[in-house]
Amino acid sequence: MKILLLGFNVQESVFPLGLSYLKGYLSVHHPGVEVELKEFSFGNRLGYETNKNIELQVLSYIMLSKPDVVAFSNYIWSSEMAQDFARAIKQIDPAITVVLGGVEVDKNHLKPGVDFVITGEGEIALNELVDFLQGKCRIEDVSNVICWKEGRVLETKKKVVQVLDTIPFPYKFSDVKHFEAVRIETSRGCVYNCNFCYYAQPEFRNFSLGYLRENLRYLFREFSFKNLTFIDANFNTNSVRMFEILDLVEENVKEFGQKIEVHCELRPELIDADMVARMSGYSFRIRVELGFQSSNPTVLKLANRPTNLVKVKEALALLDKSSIAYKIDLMYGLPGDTFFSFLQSMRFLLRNAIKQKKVVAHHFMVLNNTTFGMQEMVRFTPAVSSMILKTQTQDTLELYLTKLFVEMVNEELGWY
Amino acid sequence: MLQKMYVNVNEYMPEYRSRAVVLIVNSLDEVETAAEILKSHTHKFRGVQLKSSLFSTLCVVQLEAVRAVSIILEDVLCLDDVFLKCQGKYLELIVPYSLFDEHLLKRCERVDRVIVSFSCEEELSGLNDLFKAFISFRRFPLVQNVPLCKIDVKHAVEIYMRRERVVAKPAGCVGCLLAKYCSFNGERFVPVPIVDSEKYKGVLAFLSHEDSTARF
Repeated sequence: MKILLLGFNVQESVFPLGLSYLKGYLSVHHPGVEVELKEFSFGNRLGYETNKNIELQVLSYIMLSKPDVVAFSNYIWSSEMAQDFARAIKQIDPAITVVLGGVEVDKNHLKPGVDFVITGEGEIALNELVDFLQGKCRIEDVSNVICWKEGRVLETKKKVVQVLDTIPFPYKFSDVKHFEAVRIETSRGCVYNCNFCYYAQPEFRNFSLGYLRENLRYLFREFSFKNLTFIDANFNTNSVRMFEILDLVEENVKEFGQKIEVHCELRPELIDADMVARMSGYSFRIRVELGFQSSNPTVLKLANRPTNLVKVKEALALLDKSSIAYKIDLMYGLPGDTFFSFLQSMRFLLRNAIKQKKVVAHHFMVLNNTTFGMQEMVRFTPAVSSMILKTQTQDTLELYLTKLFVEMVNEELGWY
Repeated sequence: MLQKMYVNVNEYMPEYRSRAVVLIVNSLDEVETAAEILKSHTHKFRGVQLKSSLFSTLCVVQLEAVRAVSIILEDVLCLDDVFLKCQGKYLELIVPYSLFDEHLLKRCERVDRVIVSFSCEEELSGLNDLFKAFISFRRFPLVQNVPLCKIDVKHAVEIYMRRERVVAKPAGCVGCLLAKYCSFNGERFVPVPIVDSEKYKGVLAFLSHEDSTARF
């Protein structure tokens, strides 16, 4: 059996972490199965010619690869396109089994051409699906799968990898040894439960420090890269552990002489003077991303994101005095927000995030499988993750005007 | 507007040095004074605001210390001169609604900020088409000199620009919740006082939290 794992990325030269997890897990549990991994980067999909190019490029690649199974890993920018590919693949070769996975997908993705949808974590599910395709078990025994059976949609039990250390380190399955950016998970899940986010859906689990020690060393020894990103939702949830991991990075940076920048996402309220001082002391540069979204109490309550604004202010003041670069984001179009309440959130950032010198604001995208995603919301494309079109407090025009207002302010700030 | 503050040349104070400032210039004499002030201004945003007729008398050298220019447009003929002299500078145009046509709109695409100035109630019938034009070239529509009761207040420059002096209001404005923010002076519009505090609670909350010359 040959499985082709396919993904689409908007950036180039970034390690395909999700697909590599699947490849590694299958390689251990199904060594006889040939697994090929391919990620396409489509960058800006401008114009008709560009679109034709990537569609034909991917289908041609599949034809040359001759897989028995094509499994797509999906994110917000690719899940709709993957459904089109599924239909196209069946037109080219109906014998190919098509699987859609990734945080994006749900039963709405079980469209013509799609044989199986894998929801939630993919390692165990894809492994068990291979067992089924090899006739070793019933489909009902496969975890996290949605498919058609006898004219009805079958949705099987949910399962996650309880002991993360049982997942092989994904970088051990890559032939390419140079990337601009490499990404690492030190945990899965999130202790918070914001309604717009998916991270908290699977339970919170950590990779052990031993696993991270061994594999960070492997990464630094075998790969060259400029950016190391920890993709944990809130890397400073446990500050003791965060520093143990950063200390490991420091050891490797010194031993292997790599000049890198470390990128991580922090919860601003958990930042204090000691944390900033210690993070500033490493030999590598640290760039942090701070999830903020809004300063409006109503919006934060509806989003189930309790935020202590005083502590956020204190954290920003500390970061402004440090060498740590940061980015703090807002989101417009969240339930309960209005044009002027969003402007107050903007004002909060402009007055307190001094080093940032601009407003970073994103249009609220309703993500599938999140609490908001399960509520009745008007999206641009129903059933797939896409931008909100209106809320009970804002219409479409007001959302676009908010975007234009942010651009206008940033244009002026560019001259400051 | 927004982050920057507008100040008359003779009202400039040394403590403004570290702020984004636009000096309001009304005569050639004031041009020289403004240039001197801005030479010692420490904030990178150093601007002047003047009428296009006065601007056309200036030479490039007189604008050397200036990084931002706000021009109150009096006719469209001076636009070539404006674009030429303002190359490499932040450019804001305040354009009377009566001057607007498709050709001018097209030319405004290269301006950093356009504010449309209204002079009578009849002109407001063109507001929607004007906003459509702004959206078409990806700009937030901003207007000035329109009573706040006559428009969606988010488009009024007056909401984002704090005034030290409140404009005297006619009897028709008595009881209006936004009177002290409105530039209406009693002429050529028929005001309808804003009294619905629930409907306007968002903008009122935004305005009540200001604590600086600019509202951000």
